[in-house]
Amino acid sequence: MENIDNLLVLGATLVLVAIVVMWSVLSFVLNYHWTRYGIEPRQVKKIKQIYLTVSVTLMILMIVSYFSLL
Amino acid sequence: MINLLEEEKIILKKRRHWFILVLEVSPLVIAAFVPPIITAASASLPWVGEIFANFTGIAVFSLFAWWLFLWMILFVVWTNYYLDVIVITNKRIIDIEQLGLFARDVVEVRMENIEDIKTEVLGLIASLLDMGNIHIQTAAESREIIIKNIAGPHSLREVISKCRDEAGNMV
Repeated sequence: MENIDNLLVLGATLVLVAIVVMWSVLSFVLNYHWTRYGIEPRQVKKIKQIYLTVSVTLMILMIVSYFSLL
Repeated sequence: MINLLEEEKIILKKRRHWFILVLEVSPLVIAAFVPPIITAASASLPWVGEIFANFTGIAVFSLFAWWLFLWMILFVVWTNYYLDVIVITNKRIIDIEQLGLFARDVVEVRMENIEDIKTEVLGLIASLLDMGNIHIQTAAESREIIIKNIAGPHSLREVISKCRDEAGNMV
């Protein structure tokens, strides 16, 4: 049972790192696209707020649930 | 951003029909709801409930990670939809096609070079939702421009025709 727990924590760590890296890269790329190619600045600003609010909330929940595993 | 020419003004900006976005987004929404529904349904089974009780923490973590992943994919899909736009000005048509996050195709046609405009609405859903394709034939030897799955193709054709006529009168 302990081995399974250790394995799951290792898996969760890898998933956490992968998601954080992916989120950072993708957020940068999306922000670049919205800023550079977006033709409605007001709409883009609103979308950025929605994207960041929800993703940061999910990120916090994910990190909190990860630490509860340890 | 679009750099406008002298005395140029934007008449209309159009994107693909919202139905296309719904079609692309709906698998993601379904994928978001599947894990909690399966968990809730299977938790009522005694042996699954027992297993789940031992792994609640990892299940909650996986759910948030999955939702965050889907949230990012959702915005990639939305960005492709949002940046895929046709801009009609009094002087030209600019068709911007976002082919992916790192591929972008921009075609520009001056109004006086437009020879022929054809619209097509194919199928029941397209007819009900007023969605279709527009083919713009230009005088130049360049390819025909095809704008697919646009909302209100007939009204868009009328706007383009009017702009073309006005541009033709000015030449």
